[in-house]
Amino acid sequence: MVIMAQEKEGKTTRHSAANKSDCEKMAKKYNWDLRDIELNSKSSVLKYDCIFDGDAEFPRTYGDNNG
Amino acid sequence: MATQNFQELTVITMDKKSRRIVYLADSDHRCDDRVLSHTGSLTDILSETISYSNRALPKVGDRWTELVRVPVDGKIEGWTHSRESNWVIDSVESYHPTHTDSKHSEIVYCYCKYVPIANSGLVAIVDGDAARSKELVLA
Repeated sequence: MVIMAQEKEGKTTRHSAANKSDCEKMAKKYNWDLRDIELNSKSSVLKYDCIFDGDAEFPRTYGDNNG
Repeated sequence: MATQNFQELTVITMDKKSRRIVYLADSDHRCDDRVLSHTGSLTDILSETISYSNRALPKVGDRWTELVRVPVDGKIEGWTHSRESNWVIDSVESYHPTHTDSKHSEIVYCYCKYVPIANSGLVAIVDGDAARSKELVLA
């Protein structure tokens, strides 16, 4: 498929959320840019998908690196 | 999204304000496709971004990045990719709300003109939750 050959990663990031307002709360907390919100049909709990510009990764915590 | 992150969201300073960046089409090109689904009204809005980052504002000459739905196994389920669009920012206006209770620190209008691009590569949207889960499992 031609589309796949052109793919590269890293411009936008998706995180799921239970509430629509959580998308903006995430952006606010982590200084991200909220680009879009859409319904996530794959989950009945995390019903919303938040799309952020750029590489929107959660920051690492001490516990993440030390088990 | 990890449980701890949901809990952390409740501890957010209330005074942090966002910039609301609105991208507008300035021509009739495909205007019939830009419809507010809940009212049926036509709109010039291409998209809006709620910005809490310190990224520089869009500037004249930048291309608006559009989100794209590429079918997976023949089904269209959600945004899958982004790419540079056929819309180029032609002018930028910004306003600073004077009301102290305003939710936004700045309102930015980016007026875009239609300038087709020859070849715009698709960029896959990263699933931040899946990437995070994989890292934690491997750690």
